Amino acid sequence: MEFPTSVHEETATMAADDVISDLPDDLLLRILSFLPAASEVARTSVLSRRWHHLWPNAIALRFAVVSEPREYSYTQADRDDARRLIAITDAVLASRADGPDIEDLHVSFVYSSEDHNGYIDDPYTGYDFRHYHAADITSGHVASWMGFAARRVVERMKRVLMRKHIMRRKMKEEEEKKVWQPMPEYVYDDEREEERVLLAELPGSMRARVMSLTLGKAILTIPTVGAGSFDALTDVLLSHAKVDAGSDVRLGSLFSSCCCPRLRKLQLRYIEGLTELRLDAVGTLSELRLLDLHGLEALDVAAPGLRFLGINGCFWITSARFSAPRLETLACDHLCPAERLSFNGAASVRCIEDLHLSHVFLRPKNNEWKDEEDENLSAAVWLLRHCTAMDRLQVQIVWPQFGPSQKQQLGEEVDFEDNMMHLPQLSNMRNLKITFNVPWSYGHNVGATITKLIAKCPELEDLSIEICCSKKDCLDQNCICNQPSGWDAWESQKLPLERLRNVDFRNFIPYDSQIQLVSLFLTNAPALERMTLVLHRRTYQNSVPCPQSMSGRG
Amino acid sequence: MASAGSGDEKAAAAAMITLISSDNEKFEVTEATATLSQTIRHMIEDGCTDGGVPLPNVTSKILARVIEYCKKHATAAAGEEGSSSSFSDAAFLEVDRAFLEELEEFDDAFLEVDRATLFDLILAANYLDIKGLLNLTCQKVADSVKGKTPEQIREMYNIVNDLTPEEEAEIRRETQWAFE
Repeated sequence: MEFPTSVHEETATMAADDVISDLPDDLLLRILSFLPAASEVARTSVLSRRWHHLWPNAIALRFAVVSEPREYSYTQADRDDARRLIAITDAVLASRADGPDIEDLHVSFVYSSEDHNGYIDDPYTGYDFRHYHAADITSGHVASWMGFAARRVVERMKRVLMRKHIMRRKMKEEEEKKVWQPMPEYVYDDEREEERVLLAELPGSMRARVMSLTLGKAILTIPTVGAGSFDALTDVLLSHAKVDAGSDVRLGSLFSSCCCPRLRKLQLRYIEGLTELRLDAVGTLSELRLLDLHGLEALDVAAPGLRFLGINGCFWITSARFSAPRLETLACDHLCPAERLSFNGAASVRCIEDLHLSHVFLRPKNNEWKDEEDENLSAAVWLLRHCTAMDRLQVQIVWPQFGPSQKQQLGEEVDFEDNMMHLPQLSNMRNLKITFNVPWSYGHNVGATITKLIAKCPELEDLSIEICCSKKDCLDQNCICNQPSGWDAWESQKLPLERLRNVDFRNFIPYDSQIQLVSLFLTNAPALERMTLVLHRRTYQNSVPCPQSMSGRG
Repeated sequence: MASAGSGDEKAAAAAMITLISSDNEKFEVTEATATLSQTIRHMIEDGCTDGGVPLPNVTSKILARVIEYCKKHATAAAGEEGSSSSFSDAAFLEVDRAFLEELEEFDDAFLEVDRATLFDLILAANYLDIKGLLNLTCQKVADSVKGKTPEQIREMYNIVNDLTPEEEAEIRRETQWAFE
């Protein structure tokens, strides 16, 4: 039994030696830099004489509120905790004003629980938790923390601020330094809160490599910066801010090649007031993500090295120009009308994600409904037609929110699945993921629509289907509420699925339509190796009559 | 990953490096593995690796573990480079994800060592300038300290408190906020 003996010996030696204190300072500081909070690092200064002088030289400083407040509603204790943290952050940063550089600064006053503190960019929702301490964070705090980060942080800086309901303020700067500053919300005097203005200003230059700022909807001033002002910066996240009219040009030039010559990743999220974004990016920029840029109308991106482009929730874009000849993945739910899209690089795209295919031909005869959905699909069709090297596609088929009465009113033009006919042949498609959003109870035409889409993809190998139903799913298998025209024909269609090997079908509901779809795979896919069917949970329960079909037929 | 592996072997045949531990044991490794160490990378760049690279600060026991780490992570690094050219991003992401999980499991298992070995690995990673290994091992020590009181940390690491009661009281006053 050699092993236990050696372990025993090990323990014996350990008991005698203080091995950890023998490590040189830089390694102890490195170890302390992995502690989650500045307070934990500070506490080690009482360990012994050896450790006493480490804390003033800490290379990482992290100040963050806990992941969740005690209650959803206001508690004085939560607010006091946050106020104390604000004071501590101020005091510690002040004490380090002339000290050694910091690699990683993180200041956050946003509850960080991922499970319970989701964010929807909407005036009435925002974060799940309200941040009552938002009112305690002032523009002065922001300025002083940002200033500190700009001067002293060499690696990562991250700040997250937060404000009350409409106002979320998060600021993060990362540059091998992280600063995170959260701002609490204040419940009691909403009106006063509304009037509160939080200001923030981006520093004019910075040494950090990573900057992550989430600013609680602070009004952000973008400085005019000179060439090379951010020449260490590689990763940027800028989130939850408002910019003034006129900031467009400064923001675009700040992240362009002359000011950020090493930029690799850029994320802009939940930013208001930006109507136009022109990026002339450096060749190292490989990833650009734009999320919910409220009001952004014109987008012009030249990025010679870009490989990933994500544009989601930017519904206001009316014209876009991309020059991204190395682009591989495009994640995009919505783009401007095809005729106002200029896209150099479409031919190199191998993968499109998140693409929404909606009801292009579903509108009343008088054209009263002609809306952006129509244009949206035309951009989607354009992308599918021009991204000829694409072999991987994730689409969301978004069903219109119509009831049967509207359907009657729309008459024969209602042809739910036919928009698929206007998609081009997708001859290189190997991997297709379809998410089917059915807001009402239109489950019955799933089979026909999917069949028509798949019929475009003769090289398909992996297919994944997920049906996302609303609560009102109709489980009446004889329901005729949504049988599309051509209903009788599609199931006898011959599908070219010679290469199909895997099918993964989630939330399967045993409608005729979906059963027919599965049997189509079984009869048309000789190479099929595996098919996974996961039943929708409601199919375990009694079927409920479809409310739409009942009222519709009546 | 099969194709990446064979490419790796070809490169390996072209450039092997000999590392010599403090107890004079020799280890043959590929250049790709060796250059995860910035220290060795610089030596190769300076052309002073003929006849082997002596590493007087690293024992054979520790060097063997370090090489194990570097081999695994060199494959990962090679994969990352490959993705930029021949693979589509998305297809590669799938491979990537699986490989990253594998790498994580490897790292977890790799850290299952006694404390003396862990500190030796930290010293070796620092000397050889292997950033990933240094972070991994330092994180492991930090995790063991996380959430502990000073008394618990002293006991765990046999740290002798040589502060006078007055000194300790003074330090605690200075950092009182951290104990609240």
